[in-house]
Amino acid sequence: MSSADEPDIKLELSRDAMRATLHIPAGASLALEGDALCIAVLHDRGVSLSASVEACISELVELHRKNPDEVHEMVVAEGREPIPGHPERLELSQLNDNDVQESDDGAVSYYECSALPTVAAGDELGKLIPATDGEDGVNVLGETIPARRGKSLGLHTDESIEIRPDGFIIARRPGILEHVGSTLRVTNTLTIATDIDFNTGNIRFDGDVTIHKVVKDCFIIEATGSIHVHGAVQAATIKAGVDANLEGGVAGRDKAVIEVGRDLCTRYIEKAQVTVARNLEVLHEIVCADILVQGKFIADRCSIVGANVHVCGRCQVDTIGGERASQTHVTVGRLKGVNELQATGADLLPKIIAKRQTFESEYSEMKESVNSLTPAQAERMTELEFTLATLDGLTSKIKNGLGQLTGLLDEFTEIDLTVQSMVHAGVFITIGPWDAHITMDMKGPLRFTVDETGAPIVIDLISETSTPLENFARIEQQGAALDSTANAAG
Amino acid sequence: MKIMLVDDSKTMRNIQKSVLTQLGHTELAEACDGQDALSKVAAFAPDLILLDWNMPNMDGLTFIKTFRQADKSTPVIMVTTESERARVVEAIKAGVNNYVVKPFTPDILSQRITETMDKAAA
Repeated sequence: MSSADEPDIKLELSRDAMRATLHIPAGASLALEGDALCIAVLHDRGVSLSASVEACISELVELHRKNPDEVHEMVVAEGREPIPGHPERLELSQLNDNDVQESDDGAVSYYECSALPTVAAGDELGKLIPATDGEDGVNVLGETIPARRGKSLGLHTDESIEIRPDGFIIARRPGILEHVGSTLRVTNTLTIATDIDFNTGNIRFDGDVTIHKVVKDCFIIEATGSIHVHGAVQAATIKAGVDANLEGGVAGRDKAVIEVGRDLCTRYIEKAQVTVARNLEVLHEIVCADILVQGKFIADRCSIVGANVHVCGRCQVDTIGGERASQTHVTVGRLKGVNELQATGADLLPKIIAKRQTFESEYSEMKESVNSLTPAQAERMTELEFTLATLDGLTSKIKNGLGQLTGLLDEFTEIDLTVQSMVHAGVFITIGPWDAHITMDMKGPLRFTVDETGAPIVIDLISETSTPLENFARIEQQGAALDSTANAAG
Repeated sequence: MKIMLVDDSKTMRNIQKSVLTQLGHTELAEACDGQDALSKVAAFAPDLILLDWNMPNMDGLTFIKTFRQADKSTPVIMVTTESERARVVEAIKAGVNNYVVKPFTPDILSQRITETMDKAAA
């Protein structure tokens, strides 16, 4: 554009083309069409023109006209910077406010102040805020400057998490919320590396629980899954829906309560109340504990001293009793409650049958003179008819029930106690329906069971000789009337 | 179905209740004589009445005669020791629909109830 007879109007473009600055030198003689001249310069360099650009040029030219001896320059065009997009972000809700729970009288249980961020199925865990694209910019040449797009978090979730279209994050199952790196999930395994004490509070968890240290006095762990405690269990409560592995043993000080939905394995049990729905395994000893095992108790190296152990299935231990003067009672092959119910039924049946016979005689007498009955006798005969039918129904139900109880006992009990080393004098052993008070030390390996007649016997597992249990113990049959009454009942 | 049991003997009412419960009837009302039955029948509105003959205060025959003056359709079964033919005819003339003679068995009672209700429904 510049030529010898035209003023040297200069246009300076910034390196990023975001700014165009127009220079009018001193003494430049602009013709009347000075605005047009400047516009032409901008046009030649490709600068986009707009009303605001033209207004700036007019202002600059006007300044020059007023004061032509000075250099004039002005930024006449500016680009628009791009606005970058926001990255995707995760806003997690505050979980578990650990509200202090007050009882009706205002007392606070600090045992219940759990510090665990547990969630329930359906809980809203937070929100995933989506990334934004931002806004593109433009330079003075009209070229688009693309905005930086917001990045995705690349969040990984599994089936435990639902991300709704509106971004809300919902727990699909109960458990612990785990957010590690870009992974978010609800896990049903709770691992606690510390003791269970006031720092953790009681643990109630829908899943499996692993405790790396000790469960302190008076604390409670309840899990619908399995519980694994590496340290000792003190006078605490453990309730496992499935299995429990109490590696450090149980030192219960007469206050520990252990309830296991399936199998329990532990090193030792001392002064605790234990209920195991299936099998029990104890590595060393049971001391002064009250134990009910619905399945088997197999522990070849375990000694039982001063405890009350009831095993429905087979039982295999090292030693029963000790030199200490503490009462030890081992029951094998009885189903708690069922044997008692069977005895009650068997006791009731002959009484009902005897009563029926009385009514039957009275009814038979009336039947012989049915055509000459007084109105009162006719009513009595109707009554007897119904009473006999009712008693027949009752007898049938009891017999059926007794059969089912026998089936239960056959299925869930096993009259089989094996002792590897020693049964000390003074211990009580209940083997099926037989109570035995052992009167002398008995050296193992021995097997306590019943013979084909149902009598209790002891088998020496080395010589394989069988001896009546009464040779070693004072024995007594529980529900001795059971067999005879059952026979009488037919 | 709503059934009213009218008998002065509680044992007999219990027997009848037992049979009816086994037949699946649970809406039952009891009256200890005819007078008691008359005082309850309007409120209970039974679909069937089992009626004893010999009762204190008001016997079954007097009850049925009074009852039929106001209600001609509700079936009534007489359950009684009165087995003479003349007595049966007298009861039927008074408005009884069926008859069960004591002593009876549960089967006979349930059979009579079914018969009576089938006939009433026809």
